[in-house]
Amino acid sequence: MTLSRRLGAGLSVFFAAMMGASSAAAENCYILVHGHGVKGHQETSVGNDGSLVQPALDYWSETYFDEYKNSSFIDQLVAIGGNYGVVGYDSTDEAELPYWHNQTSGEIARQIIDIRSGKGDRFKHNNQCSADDTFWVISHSQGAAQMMYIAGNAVEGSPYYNRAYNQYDTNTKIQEVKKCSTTWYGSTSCKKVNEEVRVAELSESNAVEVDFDTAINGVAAIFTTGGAITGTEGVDRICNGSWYDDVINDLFLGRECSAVRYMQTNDVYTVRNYVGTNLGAPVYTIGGYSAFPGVESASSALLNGEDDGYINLASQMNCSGSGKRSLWSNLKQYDTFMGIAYGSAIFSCDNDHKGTARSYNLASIHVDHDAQRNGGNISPDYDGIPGGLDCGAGKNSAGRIAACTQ
Amino acid sequence: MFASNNRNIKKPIAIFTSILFIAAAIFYWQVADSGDLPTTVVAEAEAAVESPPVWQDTPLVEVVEKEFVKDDSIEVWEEIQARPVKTELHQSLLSDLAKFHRYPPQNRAINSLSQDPITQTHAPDQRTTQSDNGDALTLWTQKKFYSYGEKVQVYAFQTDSDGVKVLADLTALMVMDDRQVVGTLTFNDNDGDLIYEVEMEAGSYEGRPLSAGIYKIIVDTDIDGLRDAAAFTLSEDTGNYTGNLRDSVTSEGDLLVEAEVEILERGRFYFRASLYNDEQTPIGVLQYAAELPVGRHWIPFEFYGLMIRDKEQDGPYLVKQLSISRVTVPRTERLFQPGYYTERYNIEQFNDTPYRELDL
Repeated sequence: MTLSRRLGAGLSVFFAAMMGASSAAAENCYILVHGHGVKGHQETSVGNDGSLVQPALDYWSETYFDEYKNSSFIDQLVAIGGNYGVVGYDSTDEAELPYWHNQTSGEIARQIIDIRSGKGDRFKHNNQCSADDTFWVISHSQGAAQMMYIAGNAVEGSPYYNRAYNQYDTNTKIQEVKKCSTTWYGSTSCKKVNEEVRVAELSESNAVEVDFDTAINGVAAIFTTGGAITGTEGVDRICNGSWYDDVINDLFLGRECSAVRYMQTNDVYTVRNYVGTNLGAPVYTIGGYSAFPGVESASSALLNGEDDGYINLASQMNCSGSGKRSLWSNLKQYDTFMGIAYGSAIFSCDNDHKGTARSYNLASIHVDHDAQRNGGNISPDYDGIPGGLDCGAGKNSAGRIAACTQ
Repeated sequence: MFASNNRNIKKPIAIFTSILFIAAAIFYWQVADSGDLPTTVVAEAEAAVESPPVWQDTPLVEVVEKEFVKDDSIEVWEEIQARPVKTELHQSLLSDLAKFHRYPPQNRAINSLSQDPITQTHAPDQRTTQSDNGDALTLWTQKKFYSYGEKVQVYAFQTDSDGVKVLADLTALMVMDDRQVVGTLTFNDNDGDLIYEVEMEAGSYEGRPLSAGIYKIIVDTDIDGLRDAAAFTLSEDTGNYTGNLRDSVTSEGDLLVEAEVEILERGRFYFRASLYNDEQTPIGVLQYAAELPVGRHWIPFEFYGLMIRDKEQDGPYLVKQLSISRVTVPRTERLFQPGYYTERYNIEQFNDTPYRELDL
């Protein structure tokens, strides 16, 4: 088995070397995977004002805050060249679809395969990708969890290798259960009966084969910007029932727990526990640590550690340990001189402390969750972090990715 | 890119390998359009591999190998390598791809205890939530994955703004699958260390049986808004390791460790094994997945020879951790620490060839 693989690999390298010259001139193709709350499965339609409505594509230039109006992630991304393809899937609250679902990860993988084959995406725009481009995937927010599921199950031997599910997380089964009854004088008698019960597991009959391997093998890298890789504490609060502040209701409420359940930060929900020990492509994380503008900045007060107003930085950076922990060490831990703490805070999420394999820091920049998908704030401040890359330093997520991949 | 450690390979083997490679390349060139090559080559090569010895009646898991797929990531490597100007990202990618292809992708080297993915999966999910005033609530369950009948332990403590543990007034609610309230729980601090604890039998609440699923213990304090939840999964025992292991070096110079499992419910299972030089020195981890019927099976963990050689230490090697999961949602996981040491091996017995050479 292994011999054959080595032989096949040798051949692959052999021919890649022979044909290498022709691929050297490949253009970059950026494949964009949106986050939560989008009817991305809807294709192009015409709005009342005659404009094209393409939710998955529009996502990358829509702005929640006036401060970012007229910004466009994609315009900045391809300003110095390159093509792009947009992936769309149903990420609305109403759909309640988790990351392992055929309509999320399955749909994303199939569309990536189409884009990489040169068919283009399903939307109307210039700069469609061609098959001989160099492919990079960019995901925002919840899109990062889906990409992690796909990449983490694109390697042989992975738990959910090439499989998604057409099912939520519960099933019904006939199980033997113990039934007891108590008489009026206190004696108890029990018997075992067969009963249909709801169990928390997926049925194999609902597994769908999706070629994650083909979708990911040959993608140069996956970028996550504001990725909810280990969930968000905002969803914890929705599910744990203490999200009480009306100021930020617009951002979080209206979302019942079932809509976002697998975006909680408790480890048993997080995608890193649903992937294998290797990824099919490397993942580079860009994390934001700015509060939202105006009164919505209150949301950051309710998230532990650093955050972009919506996602904890530890989750965005795919750090090992709790998805809501602080990444910068507290100066209280340092020695003091005449009562004044001294030393430098340490960023505790270098490339050796990631939650999955092949995961790397790209940058930590002072932008909020909205600006991370629409390119608002072109030149944000940033912190130097261990393992971070300097290409595109001083630019936002779109600018950094463009500069690093050019 | 790699400086291969091939100096120890005997010359005849090198000549034979070269002839084999060239013949295979010519063959590939002739039939590439037909698409038949991968299956043919794989079948012939597999026929040449000796089967490991079978010691008992327990069946070996049948390895269903998929057709060889051209690895596009090597073209990516070539394309990036050919760029006259490389950014820091390009350099990072070249390094990543070289590491990735050094061993088969089911193998992964690990450099520290904390990087062991089995350790990461089973580490308690300790969580801290802070209030506006700096008071904090920390809580966790001893394990994240429980089977019926095990003892569930939940811990919580509260600290003030200076990080000092304080007396706490905790209330707790147990919820199943974020939908159904099971009941309340009472935290106690019996030993006075200000760490509060709840113990209960997994799968039972006040004598009532509980369904499999994800359970959360939502813990509230007397400080407004200072609340969080610990979570764990409850599942049926669908399979486990029997404790029987054996090991050998394959004809290709890899370390084959086989671990026997007993499967109680048919399904797809996911296995991992981590190999160490000693308790503190990891070598790497290996994953394997297969559809298995009920019964006993030997699970083959084939640790790539070069991954062992890269750590520059002779055996015996420690199989420190094994895990088994039934592939479903929520994830069910069992950890097994066999404390098993392999036979003594000289490091020269292992192959020293990268899985895919990228330095053409």
